[in-house]
Parts: sequence; C-alpha cells; structure tokens
Amino acid sequence: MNQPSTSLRNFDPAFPGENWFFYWKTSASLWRGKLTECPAGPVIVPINWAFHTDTGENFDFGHTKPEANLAQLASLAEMIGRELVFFLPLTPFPFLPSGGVPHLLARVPSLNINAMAYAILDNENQINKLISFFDTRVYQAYRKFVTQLGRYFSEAGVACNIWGVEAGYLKNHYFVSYIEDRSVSFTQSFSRYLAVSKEENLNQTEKKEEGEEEIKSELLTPREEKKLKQKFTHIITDLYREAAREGLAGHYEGIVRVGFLGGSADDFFKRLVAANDWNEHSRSIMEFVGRDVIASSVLIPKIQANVLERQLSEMITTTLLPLKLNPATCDPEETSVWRPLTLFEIFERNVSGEENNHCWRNFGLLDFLERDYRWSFRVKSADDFFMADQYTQSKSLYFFHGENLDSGKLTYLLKVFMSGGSIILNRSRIADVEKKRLETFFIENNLEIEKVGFHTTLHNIRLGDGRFLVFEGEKLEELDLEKRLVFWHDVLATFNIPKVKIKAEEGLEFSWRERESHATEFHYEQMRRLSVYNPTSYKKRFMIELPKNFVLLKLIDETNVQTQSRPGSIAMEFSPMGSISLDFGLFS
Amino acid sequence: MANIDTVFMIYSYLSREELGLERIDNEASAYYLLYVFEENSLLPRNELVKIYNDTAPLKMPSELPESYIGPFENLKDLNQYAFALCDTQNANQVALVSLQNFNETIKTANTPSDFKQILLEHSNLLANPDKDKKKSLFGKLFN
Repeated sequence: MNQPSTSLRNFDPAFPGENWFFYWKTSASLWRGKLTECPAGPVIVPINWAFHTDTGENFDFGHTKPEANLAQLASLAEMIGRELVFFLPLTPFPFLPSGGVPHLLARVPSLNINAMAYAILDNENQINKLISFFDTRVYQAYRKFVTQLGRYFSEAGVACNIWGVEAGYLKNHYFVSYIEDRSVSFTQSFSRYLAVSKEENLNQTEKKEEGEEEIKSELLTPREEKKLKQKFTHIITDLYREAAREGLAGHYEGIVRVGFLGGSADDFFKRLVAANDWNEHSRSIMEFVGRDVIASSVLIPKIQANVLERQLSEMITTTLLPLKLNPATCDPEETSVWRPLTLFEIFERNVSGEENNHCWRNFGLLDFLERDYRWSFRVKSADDFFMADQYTQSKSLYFFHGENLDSGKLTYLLKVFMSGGSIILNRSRIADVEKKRLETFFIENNLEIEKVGFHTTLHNIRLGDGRFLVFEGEKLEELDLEKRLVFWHDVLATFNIPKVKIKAEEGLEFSWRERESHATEFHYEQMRRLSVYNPTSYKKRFMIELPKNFVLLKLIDETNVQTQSRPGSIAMEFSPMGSISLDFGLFS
Repeated sequence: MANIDTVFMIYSYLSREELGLERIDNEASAYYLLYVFEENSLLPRNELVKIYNDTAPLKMPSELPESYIGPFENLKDLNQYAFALCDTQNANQVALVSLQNFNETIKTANTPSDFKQILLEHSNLLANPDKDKKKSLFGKLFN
C-alpha cells in the first residue's frame, strides 16, 4: 500500500480541502498520482452532475471524457489502497457553476429566503449562482441521473459508498440548506401545492391529525404562509432524498449535512470587498460541529500553515468525518477514535432557524452553554432523534420540546430515562395525548414528583440514576437574558455536570474531544483532548483551571504557543496562528 | 477621512412579517437596507445605525434582524439617508441598487470586478454635491 503524504497539497484545485477530490479539475491520467499524494483518510469525491450530462438526457461516465469515468477512479483508488466516498448532491452544490445543475436545465436562478439570488464566491474568485431545485424539469432530470448513476455503479462493479449531501451555510447560528428557495419556480410549485392541499381539505371528512397545518381559507396569514412554505420545502427535499435512495439502491448509505465556510450571502459581500475573515471561519467550524454538520473549506482559498487547516484537519477530517461516514465509530466504547465531547444533546424543532420563536436559544439555554460549556453541546433536529442504542448508552443530558414528541419518540425518551439517562423537557405546546401518557407513566410507576417554582414551574422526577425535569419554556421567553442565564446556571448545577474553568481571550477558539481509555491507560476512566486555536493576528492568552480528577498527560502539535504549567492550572500565550492540543486523563 | 469613490447600497421593500417580526396592524411595508459596502469594506453597522438615528424620520425597531437598516417609509427618505451617508463617508457617489436589480445583475457577473462594474451600470447613482466642500482639519492640512 502506498503511504499517503502527510501534508495537504496547497493550491491544487483538484484538492480544495479536507481530502475532497474534484476529479473533473484534473486529467484522468494524473488521478493515480494525485490520489497517492492525498493525505490519509477517506477521499471525498463530490459527484458533479453537470460534468456527466449537458442536457439531462444523455450521460457520460467515461465514454467520451475519461475524467467522467468514476469506475476507473474507484478502481485506481482500490489499487493503491485508498478509500473513496462519493458525495451526491441532494441540494445545489455551492462550489459548482449553477450549483451543479446541467447547462441546459440551468434556467431559473434560485433565491434565498430573503429573495436574494444566491451568489457564492469560490476559491478561484469565481461567482457561482445556484439554480432552483424546485423547477420540475430539474427534479425529473435529477431522477434520471441518479437512476443512471445507480445502474452504472452496479454494472461497473463500483463498490464505493455514496452519501447524499445536504449542502448549506451558517446564518444566525443555524444551518440553512441551499435547497431553500423563493424563486419563481418555488412560488409556482408552492401555489400548486396550496391548491391541491385546499382541494384535499375540502374532500377530507376525517379529522386532521393534531398539529398538522390546515389550509382553511383563500387568505393565509403571513405566519401560516411561512409555516406552509417550510413544510413544502421539506416535502421537496424528501423527494430528492427518495429519488437518490431509490436510484442508487444498495450503494446509498444515507444523508450527511455539509456546511460551507464562506458560503452565505453575508460572506459573499464580505469576501467581495475584503479578504477572508479567518476568525469567523474558525468560529464557523465550531458552530458547524456543534450542529453535527461537516464543515468544508472548499470555497475559501488555502493559505499555507494557516491555523484553519490544522483546525479542519483535527475537528473535521480526523474526527467528525470518520464518525459520520462510519457510524460504528460512534460507539462510546470505541477507544481509537476521538469524538467531539457532547455533554448536552439539544433537540430543536427546526434546525434551519426559520422559525425563530419558541426555541432553546430564546429560552437562553444556548447562550448559557456557549458561555459555560463552550462547544460541548450538539444541536440536532428533533427528526434525527430515532431509536438507537447511542442514546441509552450516552451520558449526555437531553433537551427536548414537548411539541416534537410523538408516540415513538416519547416511548424512547422514557426508555432513556429508565436506563439512567437525564432529560429536560419543555412541556409548552405538548399534545394532550403525549401529556396524558407522560403523567400516566409517572403515576403508574409510582414516581414521586417534586414541584419547584423558579421563574416557571419545574417538575422533577427521579428513577435510579435517571432524571426527568419538566418545565414550561414559554414562561422563560418573557424573562430578560440575565435571568434566563441564572435559571440555567441554577438548574444545570443540580445535574452535577463537571465543568472546567477556562479563561480565553476573545478570538481564541477551543474544543474538547473525548474517547475511552486504552488498556494501557487503565488508570483513567476517560481521555479528553483540548485543542486551542488562535486564528487572529494578535497575541492571545488562555488559562485553564484543572479539576482535581484531570491529569495532564501530554502537549501535542505546539505551534506558536508558550505554555506554563502551575499547580492546578495551565497558562498559555498564543502568537498569531498559534495552536496546541492537550491530552488529559480523567479518573473518578 | 479616506476618499471613497462609490458606496453601494442594496435595498428591498419588505413587510414586518418578511423580516420575521410580529405583525402590527396598519403598519405598511417599507424599504430596508440589506447590504452597504464600498470598494474595500462593508461599512460598519454601528456607523450606519448612527446615521439612521440622526437622519431618518422613523425609529428602527429594536428587534430588527441585525443585518437590516430601516425602515424607510419611501424612496425619498432612503435617498436622504444615502446623501447623509455619502457625506459622512466623503464618498463621490452612492449607488442605490434594488434587490430586483441585484438579482438581474448577478446573472451575468462571473468575477467580483465584473459584478461591481455591472452593478454600477444598473444602479440609481446619487452624486455627492457636498463632496470636499467642508473639510475636516485633517482634510485642510493634507488636501
């Protein structure tokens, strides 16, 4: 097996970052050499739809252009012992002209939720515009393409996995998908959807499911319209997912979300008039990881020895990417893989942030965690909470909105509680059925309910190690931020979640990772790795007060940093672009 | 103060609901600025807000999403704000671009320089009549 090179090749347009390989940007005759030079880890190959067809009707998988021969690429990778993973677009891809839609189908420009045309600067300073995925011609052509692709993979015996990719960007702390659209195509199909839904409502005699939007009259309030637009967007997103799943059959692995640094409208204007803001990119990487989204730097230019490359390599290429592409490594007992430390798992109704009220940020929780448990939490979509052992085994504290509970989710939440897990439930807007079921569960199991009044009414229930705390979130929204922060401080203090005191000057980014201890580390219950990055052009100070059960084991990859270890604390001074990782062993 | 050639202002006509704010009865839609930038930088929001508070007849809602400046009841108020901004920035001109024009412009632009050039051609240009009329002490010393 050829040994991969340890450093990323800079300025090679075929390798724009994090092991992504743009096969159409280089000659097929150079593929072997390039794959050999690619850093260790899986090679990510995004599929460029438009490169395989101009019309959406006829497809080229190497019959005309050798660079379109994906089977050849897979075979070369196998020959040199490299793992290839294909990323198939489920939304427009921002690094491709027209978002990757074939030339003859690129007719209706997509507009973002502010009705502004998507404009994205790529790493070669070209402006990419996106094409609406709500254009029915685009959808029909997409179905054809994925069916052909699936057939081609089967016939050519390509054994690599294909992941569907929902591409997006960061806006006001939320991941927003590039499929979001307010173009004329969207408006027309949305009108058709409204008309059909109204007709169905008229014909429907049965009672509607609780919580389901009902289209009652000709005139919708703007709020109702917004909700229905979100729902319609989800329906179309599901159509693309379904097309990919059906078309690719056995090759299809599932969906990953990829967030592109520098890919928002705000970023477009910032990058248009000034250089890249490395501080912001560095923070965005953490925000993406905190939302369980794979960050990608393929849109931004590469700068040698930039701290961002180290951060991406440590947080994405060697941590989040393997976890996402190989779910077996999610097993908390797995000792070879560092996982982002997740003390809190926060399930939000809508991770795209379009509906901004009645969310954990409005309750002050995210502000509190960002202050006291920075980047030790994950914000996920409530739709992603499914029955899996990872929840009953994990020691995270779960936050859930009652209104997101259905029968299955409540059953599983109670299973987590009975297995010794801790849950905080916002019961505002919970459906009557689930509310009654929850109350019945507590009564039937003879569980004592402790009631406390603190800005809202808290119901505290214990069962062995398990804790179930129920509160009214709506009451918190009325408080000023300071009171909300005090609320979460006092409530979470009762859960005894270990907190490490850190003083970091503004601009520094840091993150914790965790893994179980190896047999040779038997003194310790768990291992933690703290990585600190200074993406600024200034000197910055960082200090950590070590709890008594933390033992510093080693310093790793010290770059432009001076460390000073004192009893119970470590002080560090970072020069510009400095970074370091510290490994700790934890005992009970 | 540095000499600026053109300040670009991209604006849109929006209702409160479109801005994600609670609806207020009888409150009509208004113009809002989405992006304000010159050749080398985005103009700092605090400066834009200060000029708004000093010159605009309407009050900026405290809950307005951070990227917006407004409301401007009509184009006259928006132009007035543009002149005030032009003056403060000592810019030669302001290019006012509606969101619709931006969306048209971007279709044909492939690079940032293309884009700025085409944007200029599709904007409502307001020249600064007071440019260099009143000079600051620094201006008097160095110009």
